[in-house]
Amino acid sequence: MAEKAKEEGNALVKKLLSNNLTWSVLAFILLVIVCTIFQHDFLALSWNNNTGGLAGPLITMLQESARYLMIATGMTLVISTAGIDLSVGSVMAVAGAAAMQTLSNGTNVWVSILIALAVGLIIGCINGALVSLLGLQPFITTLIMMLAGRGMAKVITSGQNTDASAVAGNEPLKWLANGFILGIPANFVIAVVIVILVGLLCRKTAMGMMIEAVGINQEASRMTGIKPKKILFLVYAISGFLAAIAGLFATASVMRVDVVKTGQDLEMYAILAVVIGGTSLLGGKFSLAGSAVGAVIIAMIRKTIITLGINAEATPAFFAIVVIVICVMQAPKIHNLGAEMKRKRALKAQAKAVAA
Amino acid sequence: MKNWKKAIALVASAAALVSVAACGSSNSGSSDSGKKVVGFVAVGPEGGFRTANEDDIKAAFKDAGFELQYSPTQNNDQQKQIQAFNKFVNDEVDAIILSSTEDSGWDDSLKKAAEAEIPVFTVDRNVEVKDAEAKKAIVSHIGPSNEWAGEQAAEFVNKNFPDGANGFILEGPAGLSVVKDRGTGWSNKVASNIKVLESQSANWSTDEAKTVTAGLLDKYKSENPQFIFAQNDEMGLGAAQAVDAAGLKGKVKIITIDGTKNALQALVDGDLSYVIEYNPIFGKETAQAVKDYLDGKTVEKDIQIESKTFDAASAKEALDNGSRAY
Repeated sequence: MAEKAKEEGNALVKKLLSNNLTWSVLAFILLVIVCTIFQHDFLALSWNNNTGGLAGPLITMLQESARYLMIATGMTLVISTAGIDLSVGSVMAVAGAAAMQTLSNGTNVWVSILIALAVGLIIGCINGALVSLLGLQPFITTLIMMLAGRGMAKVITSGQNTDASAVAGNEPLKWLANGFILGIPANFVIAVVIVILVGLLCRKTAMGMMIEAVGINQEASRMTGIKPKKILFLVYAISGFLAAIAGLFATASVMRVDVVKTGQDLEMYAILAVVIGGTSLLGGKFSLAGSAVGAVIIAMIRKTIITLGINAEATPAFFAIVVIVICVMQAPKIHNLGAEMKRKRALKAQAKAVAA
Repeated sequence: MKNWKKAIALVASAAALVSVAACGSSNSGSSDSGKKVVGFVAVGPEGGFRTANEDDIKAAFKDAGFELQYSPTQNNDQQKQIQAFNKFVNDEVDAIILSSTEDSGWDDSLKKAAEAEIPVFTVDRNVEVKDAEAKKAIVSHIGPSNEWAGEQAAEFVNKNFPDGANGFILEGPAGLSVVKDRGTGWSNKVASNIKVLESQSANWSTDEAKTVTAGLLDKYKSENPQFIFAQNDEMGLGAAQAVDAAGLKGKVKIITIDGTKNALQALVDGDLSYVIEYNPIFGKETAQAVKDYLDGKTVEKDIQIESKTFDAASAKEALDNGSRAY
């Protein structure tokens, strides 16, 4: 009886160990532990009457993670069709620029938000149309959109960093990035809800399966009756739309768009989050939960950099090292290391026995 | 149905192409009119300061009767600047104005300019040159002093906290001469009882500065930080929002450098405490220096442009004046 329970336990541990998510969560916990060692009240939460929500290092981290959650979710869907969307960072800048510029020109704040979302959706649709209908390489298509997007953002604001912090009636947008729902950052709550909605859309309908099918073999998926072009178009459109939300989070946080800095390099962060989450860049099976954890880890690494006070010169290197370590931790080769060594030892013993 | 889809794809690709074309630089024209041609290796749209600076230079050279060929880079890409510089050398322009994104890596290009006997004027950001041959190409540096700006920040803190204080410095991206010089100016003048708890880079970005400041305020809560020296306005505005969210508005003095309209407004509103101008309006001086040199007159090696400092009262005056160009 006890033996059986132990066996079951072992099986569970094995399953957990082979799951990417476990390692991601473990990496996250490790980062939190490192931070707590350097700053003893890292986990401390307090109530801030000024903002009407919880305050503390973890809360600002969650606030920052919202934008990564958005772009990582879109990126996951795109990558699982064996594509890539390099334009998310630029889309963030364009959407943010559209929101801030229209707002400071006196447009109603809700209209501004809608315009920003529409702009993101349109860019996503253009990407989708080029990739699906014309069959262009996703890498090239979205790379061009990445370069063009920066230009568009600059055109929208005429090269300025438009500031809408003093515009009357900007509260809804401000709340979006800085507000709280039941003490938890509003943008994080919204981001999680959107991730769950996308997850439901993928897993409760056949969509997720279709996306994976397209990613594994487009031609085969077409023969089974899936319309790969439709699916491709859809994932890029979703990615653009989610990037626009991320752009709103990033700019509304300070109510200011920085045409050069907003969303800069974030496409790389999104790809990293997806990879940490265990989705293969070759397409096919994807894990939205994994990418979500990956996105939070990205925010956590950035928080760790601040907490440890790492030199500005060394931050990119630190970032890279942490990501590599996480990827190594997840590699199946490493997991099988123990079994491999056992096998080799057995072989050696056998060879010895034969020799004797 | 099929045709309709194709049409959409066509329109979409056309739109993408147009937007790509729109962000490329339009750099054309040669001197048929007999005007002296000056090449301007510029930074391009980056923020209020840069736009004001480059617009002013463009206007001043036009007024002075030069033909200015403007070549901006993108996202602070030095490679593109070097390409533009080399192109100007090949075109044998009469002079080159260099507003470089990075302070090193110019030796080869400057050597070529020296060989072609094209005078180079560095504006705003100075460049570090090791090669003696390359050094000859640079006639003069024109711009406000970053060290001076850093010194003003230190002196403001010294004056306001005679009994000492703790605080942070928000730096720009590592490796820029501006960052180094503003930092050097600060360390030159800062009193020994002023303690900088930590210097962190926020990459000139408002958004990043907010995140970094929030982190630092959490980390050093017990040390009672009383000042934040942000090396530019954008970061100062972000820091102000983090300070406000932490309920410390007014208790933490924020000092910034640049003097954009937004920062002066924030100064009036009490979000910032002190703004040191980094005067971008020196197109006239630059044009004059280039003209003098080409006319065979001697030009000073280092032309320093005067800047002002602002507190809440003088900021209000300047804003009401409507004299701020940026």
